[in-house]
Amino acid sequence: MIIMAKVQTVLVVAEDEARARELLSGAQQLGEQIVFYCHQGAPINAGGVRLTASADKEFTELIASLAAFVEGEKPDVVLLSGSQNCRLLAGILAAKRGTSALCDVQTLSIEDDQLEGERMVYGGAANRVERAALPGAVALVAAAAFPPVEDGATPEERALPLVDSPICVVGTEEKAVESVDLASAKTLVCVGRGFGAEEELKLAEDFARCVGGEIGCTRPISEGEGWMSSARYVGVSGLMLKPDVYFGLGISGQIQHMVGVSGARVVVAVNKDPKAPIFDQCDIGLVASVQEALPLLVDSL
Amino acid sequence: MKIVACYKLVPEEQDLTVNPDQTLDFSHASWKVGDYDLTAIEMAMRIGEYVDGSEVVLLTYGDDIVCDQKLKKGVYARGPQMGYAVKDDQAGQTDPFHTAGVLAAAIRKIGDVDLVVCGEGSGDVYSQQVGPILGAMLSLPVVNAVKEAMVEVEKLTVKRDLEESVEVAELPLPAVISSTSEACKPRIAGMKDILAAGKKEQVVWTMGDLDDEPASSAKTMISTLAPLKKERKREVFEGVDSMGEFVEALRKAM
Repeated sequence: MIIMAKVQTVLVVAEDEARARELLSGAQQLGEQIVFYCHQGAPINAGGVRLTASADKEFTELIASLAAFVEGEKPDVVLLSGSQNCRLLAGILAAKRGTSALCDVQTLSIEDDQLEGERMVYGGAANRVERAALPGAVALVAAAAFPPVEDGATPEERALPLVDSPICVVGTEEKAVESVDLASAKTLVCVGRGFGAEEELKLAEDFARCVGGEIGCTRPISEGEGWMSSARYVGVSGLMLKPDVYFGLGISGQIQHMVGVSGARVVVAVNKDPKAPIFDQCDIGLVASVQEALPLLVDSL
Repeated sequence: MKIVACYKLVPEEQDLTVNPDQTLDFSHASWKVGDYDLTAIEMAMRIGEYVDGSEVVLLTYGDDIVCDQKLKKGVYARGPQMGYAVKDDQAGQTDPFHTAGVLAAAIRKIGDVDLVVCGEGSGDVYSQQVGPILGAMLSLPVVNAVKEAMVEVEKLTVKRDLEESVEVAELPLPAVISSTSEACKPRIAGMKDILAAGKKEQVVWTMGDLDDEPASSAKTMISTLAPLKKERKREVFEGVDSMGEFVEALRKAM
């Protein structure tokens, strides 16, 4: 049995409960004493100390307080989720501790008394392994890097000491957020440039319904055409998923997208271009246009 | 007001090739300005155009590439009056902490800066950390994810594109902000802009010209390797005539 070296104290910071539970289970593997702050959701019974803050404070306004807390307590490791505000906090913490955060790490371990993490760089063309000095390491952890922690004993509660925030939140505007959880989809149907018009997406929707899959897309479809929200965009800087079956429809197979689904058990491709790189990376492929193939597929499945 | 827009020149990732030992070969890669940085420059320009008498200047850190005339023209043609570059042979080994340290030293040397605008993340490593670290290093208020920024007297109001909502926040100037990738569309530079950009002043500093020496980071890189590709079956059927076989294979696999 391998006994991994551990650090003493780990601070976990996340905005939502699901990410907090993942980070807490990562923290349990790394450290002896765990202190955590989760901004939203039901109180989690894990770790040694649960930090609390008054509910009327926005997370943004607590960043200065969390930074001051870290400066006072000096945890060996700080683990944060990848939300925008956590990224902001990570930079502020790292600056004070003379380091950069390990970013979007998919793995974490302690090697040679340093915190080691692995992440993707160059749009998925390479994986980079980095080490941060201990104590004082900061890491932004990719979603689903660790399994969620189950509830255990009730931790001690402690109020986060508040300091003045230089940033004042004066309002919140609703954002059309599509609540879709592609991460837990068993079957994922992704659409790409092979769809020439927004109306044609109906073909993919019918197909997805037929195979019981969720719909995702490549970056050009969400950020270029705006046909789908960024919540459905799969690939580097978007979602990284591990579906059981992945359908790439009208997708050429650029690395920036494919790394997002490289963990799929089965990769299926439909593309009219026989030279599309996706055919080198698929288990089953069909050389045909999506416009022609999808209605026939729906009929035969 | 004086606004500094930061940018990074990065290799075109499509041009990267993989060596037999899985390391990356950059030697055939062309270089470009990070996509997200053009958005930051545009945001800086719009703020500058809104406030009378503003000056927008550029700042970058990199190796010899920072003086490449074609790349310089492509960036300077987007509107800023002039710019600064910190040239360092070792820039390829930098990380966000060190980069932010270099930019902080340069910004102190430029002097009287009211606002620093960074992109969402660099086009190569995309850590999205330089802006936040830079703000902390300069002891200035800092926010990221900015999709809109409006300047009032000594005050900046920003709209931040967060995961579930758009947050409206105020911070005092001077400040550091990072834009989102979709905050605004960079203006297209015309031939006249590009020609004029060639004549715009670029002040080039070496590390020795900076008044304080940027600290190195407590983070080290161990390796950067292309991932081993998972072997796939690659059972490819040609045309809709082979739909039957395709569906058969699909049924077996699912």
